[in-house]
Amino acid sequence: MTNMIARRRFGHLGLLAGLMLLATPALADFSLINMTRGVTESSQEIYDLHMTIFTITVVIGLGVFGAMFYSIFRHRKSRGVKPAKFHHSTAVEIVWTVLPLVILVGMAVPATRVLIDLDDTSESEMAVKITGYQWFWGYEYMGEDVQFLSRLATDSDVARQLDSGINPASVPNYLQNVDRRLVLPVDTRIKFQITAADVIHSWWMPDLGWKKDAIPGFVNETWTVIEEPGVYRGRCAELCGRDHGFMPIVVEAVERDEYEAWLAEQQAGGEPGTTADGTDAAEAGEELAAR
Amino acid sequence: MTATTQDHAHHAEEPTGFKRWLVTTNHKDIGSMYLLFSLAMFLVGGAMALVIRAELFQPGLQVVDPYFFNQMTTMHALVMIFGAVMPAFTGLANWMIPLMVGAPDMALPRMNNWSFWLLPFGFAILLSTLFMPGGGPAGGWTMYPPLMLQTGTAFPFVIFAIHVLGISSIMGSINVIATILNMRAPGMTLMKMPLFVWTWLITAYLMIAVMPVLAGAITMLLTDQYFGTSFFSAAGGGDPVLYQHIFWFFGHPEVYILILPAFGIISTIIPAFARKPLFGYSSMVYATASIAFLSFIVWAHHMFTVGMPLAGQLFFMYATMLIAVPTGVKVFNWVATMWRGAMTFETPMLFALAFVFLFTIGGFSGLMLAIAPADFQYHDTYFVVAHFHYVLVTGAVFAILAAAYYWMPKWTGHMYNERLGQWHFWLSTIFVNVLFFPQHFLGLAGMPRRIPDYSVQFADWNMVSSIGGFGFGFAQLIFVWLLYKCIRGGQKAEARAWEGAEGLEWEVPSPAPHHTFDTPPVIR
Amino acid sequence: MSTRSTSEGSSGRRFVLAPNIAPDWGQTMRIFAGLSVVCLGIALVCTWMGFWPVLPFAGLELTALGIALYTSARRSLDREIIHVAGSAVRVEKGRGRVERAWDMDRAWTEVVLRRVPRRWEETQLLLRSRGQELVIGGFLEPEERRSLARELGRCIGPMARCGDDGALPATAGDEAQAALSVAPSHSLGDRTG
Repeated sequence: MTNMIARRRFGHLGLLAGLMLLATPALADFSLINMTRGVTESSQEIYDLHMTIFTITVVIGLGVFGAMFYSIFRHRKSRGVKPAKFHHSTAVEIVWTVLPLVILVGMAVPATRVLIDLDDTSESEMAVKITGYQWFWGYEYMGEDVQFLSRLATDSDVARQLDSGINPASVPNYLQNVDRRLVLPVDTRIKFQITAADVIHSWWMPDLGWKKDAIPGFVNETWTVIEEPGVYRGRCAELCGRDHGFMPIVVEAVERDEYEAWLAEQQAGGEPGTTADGTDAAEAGEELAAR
Repeated sequence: MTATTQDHAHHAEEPTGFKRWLVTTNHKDIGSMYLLFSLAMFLVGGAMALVIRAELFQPGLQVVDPYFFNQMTTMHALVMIFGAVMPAFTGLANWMIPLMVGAPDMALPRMNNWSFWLLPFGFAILLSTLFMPGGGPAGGWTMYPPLMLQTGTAFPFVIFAIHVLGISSIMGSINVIATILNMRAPGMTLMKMPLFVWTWLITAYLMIAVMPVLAGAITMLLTDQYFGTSFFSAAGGGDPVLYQHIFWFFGHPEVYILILPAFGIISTIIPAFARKPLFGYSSMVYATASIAFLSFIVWAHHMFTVGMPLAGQLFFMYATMLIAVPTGVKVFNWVATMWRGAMTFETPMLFALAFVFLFTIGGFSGLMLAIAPADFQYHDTYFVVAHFHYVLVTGAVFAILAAAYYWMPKWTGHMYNERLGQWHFWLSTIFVNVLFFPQHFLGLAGMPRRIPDYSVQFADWNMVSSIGGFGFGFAQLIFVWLLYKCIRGGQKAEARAWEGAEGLEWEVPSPAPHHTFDTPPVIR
Repeated sequence: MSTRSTSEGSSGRRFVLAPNIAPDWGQTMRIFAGLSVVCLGIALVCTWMGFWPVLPFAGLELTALGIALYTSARRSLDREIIHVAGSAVRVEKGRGRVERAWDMDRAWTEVVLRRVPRRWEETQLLLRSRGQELVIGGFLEPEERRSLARELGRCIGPMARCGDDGALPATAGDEAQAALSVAPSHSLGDRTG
């Protein structure tokens, strides 16, 4: 009788294991299940930190759960065992209080180093002011007389309406495309000054390794050095009302000379706040095909 | 001589029907009402979660408008926290604490009645805001200004409802503290109290300490909106971030209010089914107290991205990491309790074991979130959603379910249907992981929380998660059916319904008679 | 709550009604003081930062907690003693000492258990003698009050006889037997230490 129940229980576990095996091919693309490594030194440090802590927790987890499952399989009444009577052991309790402390110190050291590094906003070569609005972003290149607003691209905006009937998969870069990208030079120490005009937003660019809250009436500062040219996509991360999910961020990192040319073009022709609809979508399509 | 009016009418019968429940001061009546109310709210909040998961089943907007989606995420949290988990723990406290400490009732029975009946009124107000012009609250359960101030007609009603729920919780806590301190049977010293009683004492302590902060914070939101103050408005010299500091100063202890009684429950159930005394009773008590203390000094880890000074970030990171130590002690103690026991695996034990396993996973992701630089990536993503659902659903809710199965024979006088219980457990456990585990992936891959629609690379895991959500939701209906059957009848439960169960509550016949202890029980 | 009864002579009985609790004042005060320091400390820091609305809530809450702890702890000292002997019924009430006492004529006293409309207490147990009423067992549970009423009814009134061996009739039920079993003599306040 008990054997039968036990067998049925192992059956459940077997089913679970089978399901997990079936799921493994889906795990092949790690960009869909793990943190992005990003394109800055800090984002890579953060990624390494994340992987370190993750590995430590997995090891501890294997130990704890190993003991637990060993106990579940060996120390069950149906095997006829008699329960032991012990109920404390000061030595063991001290060990498992002190050992985690030591491990935590080991985690805190690299975390502190990265944190101190990220906090230093001095010595920047250029500055960009980011302003969050309900529900789009405003960018201003400080001292360059270039500023514009950046909204969700029109094709995504049409497709995202309730019951639009448009398949999101058919829209290139659905919900992560904007009408005007934030163009930034690579290998340049850029300072960001982040604020908001109405409610709190949060400017999040996973490839830069951080997000920073945009708070009305206050200016938050942070910095980055992008190491690789490319188009990077992020989102608003702080609930900011109805269209919180529809104010993406696109950064286009280009070589410095390319950036200078772009800036000059903006200063000459592009009026502040104008938009250039449509161009982005086509480029993004090509890029997708290239990948 | 007490002179009263000359009334010769004799009415010896007790009130019946609805009136009985309305006027009852009996802790078992009130405990049952709390538990049933909590179950109802769990289903209401669950239905809201299913609206969320239905919308997120695939990219694009198919089911609801984004604003209504935001109302659902906000209300789901408020209903689950203040309507499902907290009342369930208060219900368990009402039922079990007097029995466990050998008291005939709670210390303040009339206040007990009042604190329960505030809940339905509070929730009637809160849920009615969904039908008001401009809709219900949609700024998240944390109610950050200035966004929260954009709420329409519903705003003052939401604040009022939360005040009512807060008063109810406060009265519940006052009652628990008074009962534990003043109603213990002679001989039951503090260090002889069952751990469930201990964890509740500490929970009540936390609640008393932080509830005025919540009350003050939401009152200031109200005055900012209607009376021209500017506590949190930058335009008037205030600071919206200070609201977050104040809110999380309440909010983080609140998180432990939602989990400490669960620790007590698990510490009761594991020894019963391992047939072995709890390992490290006193270290369990000290660990609980340490967690409670630490909960006061870690609040800003919810706001690493608001732009704090470096020293602040470092302090809150270290303090948060420290919580892993007492929490680890608890988990190790539970495993040591199982070690060399003689375990059986009835439904309460299964839920308790799943708690230890899955809550620890939530603890690990919590430790990852404590690392401030990494939190710059994790913060406000589905990784956080996965983390707190692992500690609240497979943590708090699983512990409540374990407690319900464990004490149901005591409450109803009948054994529940073990077969249905096993089905409920396995379906819940499998689906809850299908539901929440992929959310870790989504968050790491870049999906923010509280969004009604997402870009297509997140489609697969969202679909998996939604399937898990519906599976988990419908699995709970098994519990409703099982509970109904158990109340209606079933195999008679013995006084000690479980072979290894210890504690005063098992000294009296099941179901506990109206009047529990005729003679003082002896504490061994 | 617990009720105890002891025999007093061949035809007398004594009922001691006492809550079955043992509060520790020192401990209660320490815990209340600790909680007040934490709670007021938090509220004062908030006030100092300009968020004064926290303070009145903290004050209200601690007042409520203080009143609750005080009230519930004081209740543990409540005693009611009913002596039934010879032709007299004597009721003593008090906290720690006899504060009030009433004497009644055993044959002319009636035990009444009645429901009180629009009151939280579901039932009220009283002794009625010559047009005056005395409420007893206020801190008992309804069930306990009912069994006490049954028991008193057997001792008090024109037809009452108690103290005889086997006086408890079968209809008294198990609860009454358990609640009113003969216990060692208790004097008023002997459990308050």
